[in-house]
Amino acid sequence: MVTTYLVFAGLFFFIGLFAMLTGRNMIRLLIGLEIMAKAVVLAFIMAGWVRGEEFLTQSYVITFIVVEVSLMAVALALVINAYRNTGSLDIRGLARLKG
Amino acid sequence: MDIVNLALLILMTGLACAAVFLRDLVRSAIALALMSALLAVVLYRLNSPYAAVFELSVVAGLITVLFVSVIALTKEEDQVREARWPIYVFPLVLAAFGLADLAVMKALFAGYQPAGYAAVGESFGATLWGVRSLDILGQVAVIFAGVFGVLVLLREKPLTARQQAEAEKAKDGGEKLW
Repeated sequence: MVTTYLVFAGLFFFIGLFAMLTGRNMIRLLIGLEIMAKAVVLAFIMAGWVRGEEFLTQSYVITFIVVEVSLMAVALALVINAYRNTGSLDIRGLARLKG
Repeated sequence: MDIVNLALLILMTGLACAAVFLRDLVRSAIALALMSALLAVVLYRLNSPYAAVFELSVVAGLITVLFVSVIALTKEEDQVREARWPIYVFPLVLAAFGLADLAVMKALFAGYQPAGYAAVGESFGATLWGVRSLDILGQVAVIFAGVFGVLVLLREKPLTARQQAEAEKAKDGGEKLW
């Protein structure tokens, strides 16, 4: 029962990691990161459910979500900046940046 | 395991694959939002309603708005040509990883069972504001850091002398038309 949830959490993490490793579009890389974050949330909630500490894990998850949103906002602002500089969303274009 | 939760998790896996492999970025963002909404339902069914509310409102709502805004601002999704080989490799790799994942999780967590709802002690408010009160300060700091980061990254840069001259020229040309 617990195993099934954790197997799916592992699958989500893998799908997100695969997207980050093989993608070229910067927005798609961030989508991969989001999928990995969902795997972490699911694993956290399962840990709380098993230990009977739902409130504690929920407070951790809420902290995690707040950090995730701030991270996404800054990362997307970086994407816009990179787009202004390179004219493309291709991650390989960042290799040309200097200074 | 609850059959509804299993169906929700399978749907979420499909939506995660769609978010990664759909060509249209707006559709990818919508698939991600749907995945978040389904995760919120799963969290609610796992006796975690507060985390579910945050997942639904903040992740499925706010982050999707951020993604769609950035996609609309850039409008360049067609210029990035993604490699084709990951689409062909992905099912095989996913199946291999799934089998390994299943074996490892079974070996590590086969004996674990949910503690049950009776084990829940204090209220959520007491846990959040009492036990984890320092986290709240950290969250405020992180939110401010995020806001300042976005403001710094998206600030308007002052025009160079040449750009100013071009802007003036364009303005003069516009006035002559009137």
